[in-house]
Amino acid sequence: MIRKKKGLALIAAIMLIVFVTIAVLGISTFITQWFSQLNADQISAKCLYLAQAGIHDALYDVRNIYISTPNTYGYYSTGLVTVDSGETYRRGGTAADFLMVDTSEVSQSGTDLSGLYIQKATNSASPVVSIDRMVVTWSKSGQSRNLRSIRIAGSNRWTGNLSSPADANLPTNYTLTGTSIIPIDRLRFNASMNGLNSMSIQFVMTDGSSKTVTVYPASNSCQFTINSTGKVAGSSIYRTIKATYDLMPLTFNTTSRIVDIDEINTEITSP
Amino acid sequence: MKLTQKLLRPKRKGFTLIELIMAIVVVGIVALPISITLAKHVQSVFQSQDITMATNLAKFDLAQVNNTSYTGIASASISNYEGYGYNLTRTVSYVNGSFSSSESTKKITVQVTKSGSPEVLAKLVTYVSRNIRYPF
Repeated sequence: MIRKKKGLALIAAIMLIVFVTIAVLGISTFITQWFSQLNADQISAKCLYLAQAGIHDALYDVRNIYISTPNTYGYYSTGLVTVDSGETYRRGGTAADFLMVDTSEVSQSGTDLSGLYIQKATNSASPVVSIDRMVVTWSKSGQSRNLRSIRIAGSNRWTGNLSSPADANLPTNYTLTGTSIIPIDRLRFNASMNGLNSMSIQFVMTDGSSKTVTVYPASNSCQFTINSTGKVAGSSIYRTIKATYDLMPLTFNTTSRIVDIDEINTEITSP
Repeated sequence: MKLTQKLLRPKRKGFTLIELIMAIVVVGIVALPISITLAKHVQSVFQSQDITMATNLAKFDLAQVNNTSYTGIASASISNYEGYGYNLTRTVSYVNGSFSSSESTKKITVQVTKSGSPEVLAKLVTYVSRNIRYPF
């Protein structure tokens, strides 16, 4: 009838150890997650300033080339650039982002609208900047008119007979190659366009992106958009800045500026 | 009968010496790594506070840089930055053009250390180009 009660202290000790271990593991998990969040915040701050670096580097290139090279508005390269060890930015975007449209010299005379210029804002092969359609919308006092032809760089790229809004689907997509300014020589209508109040063109690109520009009356404007994603090696965290810059060709030195800048939740992953 | 049972019941008040020694050894073996882990975590809590503060100071400095005229952006080494007990080093170099160029780009690197320690707690890098105007 004698009960053996050996090892009671050991059992108590093991129970104590189990409780302490659970407590320590809980605290460890909490602190590890807190530390991880802190690290993420620091990387996030780095990424934002790397994205800024991409925007400013692109604007340097554009501005410097514009003032030093004739027959171009300037351009910048797309892709990955290392700013510091393991710290990078990548620039890219849609075809519409890279389409520059200069509306500063547009004029209307008789049946034609002329003085419109376009250019690709990058010297890189990607993205391909190719126009699929041009939707021309205008308002005019007096009799209505029809769009008959669009002439780009010396050749008619579209002919037809459409009233506003005229959806001119180019039979052959017009791809902007090189980095020189390309004239849209004229938009020709079926009769005099005197009394034209306003005109806008939506450029629909082959990648599905589009850009709408008011071309008449002429305005001192030539805009393009830069997208820059900052990243740190070994982390999936990224920050992307999207900035629209207006060269304002007629007053470049004094008024050209970023006209819109925002952070977007899209990572630039190519080229 | 009751008296007999009472006399036969073993007297087990307290633990044996062997039990206590074994328990102390086991607790000791387990407590050592737990103590080390806890100590590291306590240290990391203090370090994380330093990193948070250092990162905030680096961001504050770059925000100031972005609001400074381009020609005014220069290298600097500031002890006890803003009175928080951290040292800030701002390094500025040209990545495009130069001082005399009409267009140029500066690379700005901001590093923050705790006073008395060489360890860099926060480092931010960016570029700023000349003649870049913002809508605001």
